[in-house]
Amino acid sequence: MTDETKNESLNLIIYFVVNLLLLGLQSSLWPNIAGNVPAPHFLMYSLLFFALFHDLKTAAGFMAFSVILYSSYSIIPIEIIFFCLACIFILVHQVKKRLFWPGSSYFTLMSGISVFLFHFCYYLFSWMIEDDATGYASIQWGFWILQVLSTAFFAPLFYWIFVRVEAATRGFDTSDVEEAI
Amino acid sequence: MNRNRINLKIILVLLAILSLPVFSLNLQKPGENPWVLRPFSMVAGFVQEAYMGFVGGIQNTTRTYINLVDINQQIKKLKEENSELKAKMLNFDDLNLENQRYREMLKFQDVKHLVLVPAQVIGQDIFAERSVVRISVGSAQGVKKGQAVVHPNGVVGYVLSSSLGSSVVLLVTDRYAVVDARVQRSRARGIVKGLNPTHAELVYLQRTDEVEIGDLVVSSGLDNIFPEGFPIARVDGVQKESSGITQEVLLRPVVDTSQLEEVFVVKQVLAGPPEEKKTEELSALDVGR
Repeated sequence: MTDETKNESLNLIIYFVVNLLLLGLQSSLWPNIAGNVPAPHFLMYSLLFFALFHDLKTAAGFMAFSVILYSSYSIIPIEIIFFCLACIFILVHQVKKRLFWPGSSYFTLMSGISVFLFHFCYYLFSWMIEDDATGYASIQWGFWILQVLSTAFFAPLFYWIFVRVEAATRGFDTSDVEEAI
Repeated sequence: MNRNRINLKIILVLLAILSLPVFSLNLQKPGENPWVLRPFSMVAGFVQEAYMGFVGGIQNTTRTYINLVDINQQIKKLKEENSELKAKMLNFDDLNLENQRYREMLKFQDVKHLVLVPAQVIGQDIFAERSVVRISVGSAQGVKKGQAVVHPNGVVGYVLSSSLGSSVVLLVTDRYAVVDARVQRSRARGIVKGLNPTHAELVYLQRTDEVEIGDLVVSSGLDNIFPEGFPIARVDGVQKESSGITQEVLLRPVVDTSQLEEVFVVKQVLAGPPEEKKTEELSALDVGR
C-alpha cells in the first residue's frame, strides 16, 4: 500500500468516525442543550466537502457511506435517504462546474442550499415512494428555514476543520482559509 | 507488479455500489433493519448513550460547582443567612418535586398486571418530521419489536426495532403509528393515527358516534400491544363534513413526547383486573390531566 493510499484511507476513516459522532451529537446531545432549536445538518458538511473537493469516485463512495450512516440514526426509508443525498451530490457537482470560488463563503452558501434541497427532496420522494407519504400540511417551514440558518452558521467552522484534516492527510492547500482568518 | 496493486478507492466505491441492491431487498419492510445496517444501528445506540452519559456528567459537575459556589457564599455572607435559607428552600422544593416524580413512577411500576422495564430516552431521529426516539434498553433486557412503551401519564408508542443495548420507539404522533382506541365516555371505537409532532387524529370513527372536545381517548386493548384502558390523548377538535360516514377528530396526546425523559416498556401483560379497576389505578396517578 502506497503512502498516498494510506493517507486517503486515513482521510476516509477520519470522516467516517467524525460523522458517526456528529450525527450522535445531532440526535442526542443537541436536543439536551438547545431544546427544540433545530440542529445543524452535520452530515451535510462532509458530504458537501467531498462533492466539492474530492474526485468523483471518492465522493460517490463517501455518499454511499453517508447513506448507511444516516440510516443508523433515522427510520426514514433508506431509498429516500439515498435519492435525497444523490440529488444534492449531483446538484452540487453541476453547480461547481459552472459557478465556483474557493473559500468558506461558497461552502456556507452551498451548505444552506443543500439542507433546503434535502428537505424538498424528502418531501418529493416521500410523495413518490411512501405508502403513507408526508403531506403538504405537515411541512414545517419554520423548521426548514431555521435548520438552513443553523447549518450555514456553523459551516465556516467545519470548513476550517475539514481543510485542516485535508492538509494533514492529502496536502490540501490551506491558503484561502488562512486569508479568511 | 502494477497490475496487482490494489486500488482501495475503486474497491470501496464498487463495494458501496454493489451493496445497494442488498439494501433494496428490505425496502418494503418499514422498521426492519437490514442485517448490513444492524451493526451501524447498534453503534449509533452506543454513541447516543455515550452522549447522554456525557450530558449527565456535565450536569453533575455543574451541580457540584454550583453547590461549592453556594457554600463559599454562605461562608462569606453570613449576614445574608435568611436569603440563603430561602434559596435552599427553593432547592428543597425542587428535590421534593423530583422525589414525588420518582415516587409516582415507582407506584406506576407497581401496577400489578404489567411487567415493566424502565428505560431512559437517549436520542431522537435526526429528521424532525419523524416522531421517533431511541431508548436505553434493548434485546439484552428482553425488549422486542411490537412491545408497548408507556409513561405514568399514558401511552408513548411502541418498539419498532431493538438491538442489543437500545431500541427504537415509534411515538403515537408519528404518521406511521396506529393504536386501536376507544372514547372513554361513549365507548366509541376508532384508530388513533399520528399526524404531526404535536397531534394525532382519531380515524374510522362513525359519524353517529358521540365525541366531544375534552373527551379522553384510551387504548382498547384489541391490538394486543397496549393494555386496555390506557390514556392516549384528549379530543382537541371535532369536524363533521356535510357528507360521508365518518368524522374527523383531532387529538392532543396526554404525554408530551417532546419532553420525554423516562419511559416504561411493557414486557408482559398479566391477567389483569377489570377495566373499572384499571381506570381507578390509572386515575390514582392523575393521568391524562
